[in-house]
Amino acid sequence: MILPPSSTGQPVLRASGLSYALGKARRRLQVLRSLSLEVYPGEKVAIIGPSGCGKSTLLSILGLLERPDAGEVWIKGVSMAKASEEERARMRSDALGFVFQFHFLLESFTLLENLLLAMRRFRGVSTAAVNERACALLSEVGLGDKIHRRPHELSGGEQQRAAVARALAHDPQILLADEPTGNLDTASADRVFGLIAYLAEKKGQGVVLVTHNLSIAERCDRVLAMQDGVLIPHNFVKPKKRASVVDFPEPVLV
Amino acid sequence: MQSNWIIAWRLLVTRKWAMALTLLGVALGVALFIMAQAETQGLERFFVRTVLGTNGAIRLGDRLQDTLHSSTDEEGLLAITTTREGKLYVQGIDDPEALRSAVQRFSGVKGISEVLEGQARASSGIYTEPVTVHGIMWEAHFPLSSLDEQLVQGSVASFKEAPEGLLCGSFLARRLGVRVGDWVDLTSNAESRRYRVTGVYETGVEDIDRNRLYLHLPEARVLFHRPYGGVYFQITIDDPKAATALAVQLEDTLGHHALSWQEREQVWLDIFWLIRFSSSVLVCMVILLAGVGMFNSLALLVLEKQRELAILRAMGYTRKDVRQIFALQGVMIYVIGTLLGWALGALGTCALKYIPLRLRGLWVGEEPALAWEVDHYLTAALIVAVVVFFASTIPARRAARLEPGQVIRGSAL
Repeated sequence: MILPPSSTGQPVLRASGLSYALGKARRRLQVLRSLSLEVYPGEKVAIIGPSGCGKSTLLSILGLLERPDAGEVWIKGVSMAKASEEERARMRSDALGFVFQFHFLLESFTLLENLLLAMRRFRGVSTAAVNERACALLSEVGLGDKIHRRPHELSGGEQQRAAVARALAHDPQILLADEPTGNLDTASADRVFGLIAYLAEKKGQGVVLVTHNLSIAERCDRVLAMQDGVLIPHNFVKPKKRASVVDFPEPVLV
Repeated sequence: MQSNWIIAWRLLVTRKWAMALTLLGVALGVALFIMAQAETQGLERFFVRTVLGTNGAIRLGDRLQDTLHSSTDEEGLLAITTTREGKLYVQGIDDPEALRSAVQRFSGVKGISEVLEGQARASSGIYTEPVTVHGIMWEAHFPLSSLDEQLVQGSVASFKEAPEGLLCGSFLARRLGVRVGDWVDLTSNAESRRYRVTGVYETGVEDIDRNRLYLHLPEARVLFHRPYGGVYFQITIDDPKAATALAVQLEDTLGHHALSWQEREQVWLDIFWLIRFSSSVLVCMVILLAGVGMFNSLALLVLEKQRELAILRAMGYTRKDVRQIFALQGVMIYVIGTLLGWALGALGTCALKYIPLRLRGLWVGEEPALAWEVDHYLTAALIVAVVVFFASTIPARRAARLEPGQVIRGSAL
């Protein structure tokens, strides 16, 4: 099991012995092999690895969007192995936030509405209070003056910042980000990651970040590399001249 | 739930044209159904009302002759039974007074009018037409028929006061070229006599208006040389729907041939049923086509919005929520389409008033008889509900079955 160097308290997200295969019979491809992971509140974990190695699949399983073939996921100490569809959905709306490579904002809705749709857990709270919270969050990501705009009226960086705001709108304990900066230029990527890091730190949220961008991975508390369906700790060998986005280097085992 | 309504609506309006066409299809289907029912049922009701008002609910006529059968049983006892098999009968009613008092004892009988019917030729001097003469006792006939309401020329009073008075159908009056006050010669096989037109009536049923004349019963007896008997009873009853059962009862009890209006007008009633059925089927096909259009639109919407649906699922929306979103779209199309269809149907029915209808031999009039029935609106809504239910259920299920992880992963690669 991969543990942080100085883990204390209860992990907010825990995966144990996760296995998952794609396809059937002869074409079966084992993506995850008895993979384990723990993420603690306020911790940012980066997962790196070559394309197609199963990072996004892992995130889907950690985010309760898919069920593993074997193994178990605990969210806030609650096992999700035998949870019903309803319970998993409730857990997603309460404790999990997603950011994807593409913003995936709902095109038919304004930014404010996109956030409000994600805030179902605040049912019972007054509409004014929920609206206020959504507006504050959009202001925090620098989109306070564009709350009534539709996604297609924004730039790529703005869209992704709005997606971050949406992922955090319902105050989740865990943020799962799948290449959130993969589609952005360096400046925008830095800004989006900065936002994720700042907001997650501020609220003590655990972050699992899948990225190809090593400079961003480097800024996380832990970097894990996915290889042959398992996660292994990754130490950087600093290249002489580092680009912001480089080819995936061979991991160095500790 | 509230957010599901909003999502359903927003997703629906993303495909404006497709949804507008679907709505139009549903609305047109509903409107056409209402209009077709209003027209056909209106016509049928008019016809039934007219034939009941003109010919009564039951016609009691020829006396049936019983056939006696004798037989002996196992113990050698003689048994005599009567049957009414075969076609043996005595034409008309020979003792009207006795039969009248017997008929009046049956429950549900509202009134009885004695009518003598015969064939003659009517001549205005220029034109000659074959006619059916109905000899009536106005005291008994007018209260039971709609004849006084059907007069378009002349008056009931002038007919009552003039023994030689005659009431002529409007179509026949035009054919003969006569008006109120003109004289008409009637020639039967036995006699030729002259009568004065005291009124022209119009039932709207061409068969009646083109060949029926009303005379006072004593005059008809003279014309046809039938000083007694030979009449039939035109019976009016409280519940016209019960005419067939009462006719059977009358025939069995009184031994006179009784014919209900349903049996008498069976051919027309069958035709009306066929018209209503075929027009309903045709209109239902329009609704069904609208349903197919709706199914296509929603199925395409599911394909187009896979990613959005997957994101909703990632945000904690359940399969049930997704299913509900598409079901709600069905409800929206249903409610808007039906309300629009009702409004169009009502407007269309109003417009039908201004379209002159002429069915040769059956109906002639400037303004068609239309039936305004809540049932038509409710039935149309029910048919649309069934079609919309099936058209939205399958896409809703398909949308709910989407695996968000796979959809998002597929999009991200």
